[in-house]
Amino acid sequence: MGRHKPSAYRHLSVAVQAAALKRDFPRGEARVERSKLTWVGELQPSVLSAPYTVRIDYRLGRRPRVKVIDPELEPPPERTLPHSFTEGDLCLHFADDWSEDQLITKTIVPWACEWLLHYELWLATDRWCGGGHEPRRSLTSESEGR
Amino acid sequence: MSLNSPEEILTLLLQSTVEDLDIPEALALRAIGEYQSVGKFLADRYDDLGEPEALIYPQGSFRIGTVVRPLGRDDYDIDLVLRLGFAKENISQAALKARSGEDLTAYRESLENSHAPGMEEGKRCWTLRYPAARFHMDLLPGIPNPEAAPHGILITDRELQRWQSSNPIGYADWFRSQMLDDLVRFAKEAKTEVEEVEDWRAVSMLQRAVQVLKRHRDLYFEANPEDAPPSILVSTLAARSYRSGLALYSTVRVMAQEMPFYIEHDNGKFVVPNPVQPDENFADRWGKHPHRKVMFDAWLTALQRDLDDAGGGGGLDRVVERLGEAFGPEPVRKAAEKLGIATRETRESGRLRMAVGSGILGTSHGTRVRPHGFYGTS
Repeated sequence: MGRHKPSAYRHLSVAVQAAALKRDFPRGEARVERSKLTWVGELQPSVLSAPYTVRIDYRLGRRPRVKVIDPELEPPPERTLPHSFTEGDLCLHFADDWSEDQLITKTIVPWACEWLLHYELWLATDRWCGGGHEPRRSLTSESEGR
Repeated sequence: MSLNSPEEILTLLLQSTVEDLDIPEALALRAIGEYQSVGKFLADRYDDLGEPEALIYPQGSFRIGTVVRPLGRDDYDIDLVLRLGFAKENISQAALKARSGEDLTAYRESLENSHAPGMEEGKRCWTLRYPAARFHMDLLPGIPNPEAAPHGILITDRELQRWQSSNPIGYADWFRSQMLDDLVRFAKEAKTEVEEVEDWRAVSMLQRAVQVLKRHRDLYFEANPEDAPPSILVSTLAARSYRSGLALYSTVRVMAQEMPFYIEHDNGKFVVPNPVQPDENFADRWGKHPHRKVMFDAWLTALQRDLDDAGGGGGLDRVVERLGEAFGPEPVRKAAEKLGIATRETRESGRLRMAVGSGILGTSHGTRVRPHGFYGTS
C-alpha cells in the first residue's frame, strides 16, 4: 500500500489527536500545552503481560516520541534494548509508515503495544521476532525520519 | 489467535512446547520404513523355513501417539514387538530371546554394511541403532497368547523365567477409543477416514495432554527417575480422566486434578487395572515402594502449581521463565519465539488488532494494527 505525497499539507491538529486518544483510552491522560501534546496511559499487550505506563510527546513537524516510563526498561546484562533510540524512545516505524494526517491512537499506540509484546518475548528468547530493520549506524532520534 | 485470556496464551505455549518434543514426521516415517524392512525380511525368512508367521509392530508411545523426546538425549525410543509364531509349549523364554537375536543378526547381515544398524542386547529386548538417524528401536520378543486372541501375546520377564501376558495392540485400541471425538474431528478436517489417521500422530487433545504430563514428569523426577510413574500408568489415568472440548491448558489442568480419582483401592493396595487385561495392575510397584505413590501425588500437585504460577502473569518473560522451569527452558523458549513470529505474521496479514482501553492484542476486535516496520537495531 504505497503512500503518495499529498498535494496540500494535510495534518490533524494536536487537539484532535488528544481527543482521539482520550476516547480510546479513557483512563489515560492527554494534555495539550502550547501546541504540544503529552499523553500518558497504561498499555498491556497481553493479559499475562506487565502493564506499562507509556508517554507520548508530540508536536506538529516532528514524529511522535514514545517512551516507557514505568517500569524502567532494563535490558539484561550484555544485551541492548532492541528497536529503541539511544535516549530510550521506542523505534516504532520507518519515516514512510506514518504521517501527520494519521491518528496516533490508531497507529503509534497499537505499534507500541506490539513493541511491548515483542520486548517481553525478546527478554525471554533473546530474539526479536517483530521484524523490522537494522540501520548501518547507531541511531539518535535527530538522525531518523523527519 | 488471542492474547486475551491466560488459558489461550498458555495453550499456545504448551502446544508449541510439546510439538517441539514430539517425534518429527520425517523421523517417524523413517522409523516405520526401517521396521517394515525388518518385518519383510522376517516374513520371507520364516516363510522359507516353513515356520509360523513372524510379525513386527509398534507398541508403547509410538503406537498411541504420545512420543516425547527423552530428557538430555537427542534420539527417540521406538518400541516394537517382534512376535514370532511359536506356541509356548514349543519354545522357552530364553530360546525365544535367542531366536529373535539370531533373526535380527541375519537381517543385519542381509544388508550392505553401510546400511546395517548397530545391535545391542538388553535383558529381554534387542536394540537396533541407526547411525545417522535420531532414533533406536527396542524390539521385544513375544509369541501369541491363544487365551487372548487375536492380539494378546506372551512376553518374557526380564529374568527370562516367566511368561507374562501383554496386549499392546488391545491397549492402543482402548486408548484410541478414549479420543474418538477428536479423531473424528481431525479426520473430517483432513478430509480423510478415521482409520487412516496414523497411530503415531498426535492429533488429539488427549495425546497432547499426555505429552505435557510426561514431559513435566521427566523433569520433576530427573534426579530419581526410578520413582517416576511409568508412562503406561500416566497414559491410562489421563485417558480415563480426559474431558474433550477444552483447550490444552485447561485439559491438562483438569486432568492433573482428576487423575488420582481413577486410582482404585483394593485391600489396602493401589490398583490401576490395565483396561484390556484387568488382572494386570499398572500401580503394582507402589505396593513394594509406597513412597512412589506419595511422590505421584506430589508430582500432580506440583504440575497444577506450575500451571497456575505460569498463569499469574507479570510479563510474558516471567511466564516463559516459569514454564521453562517446569518443562525445560529450550523447548519453551522456542515456543515463545513461535508466538512472536505468529504475532508478526498476523500483523503482516492485516489481522492483528489492539483492544482499546487496554492495548491487548488479538484478532477478534479493536483497532487494526497497520503495516509498519520497527526501526533501529535489534
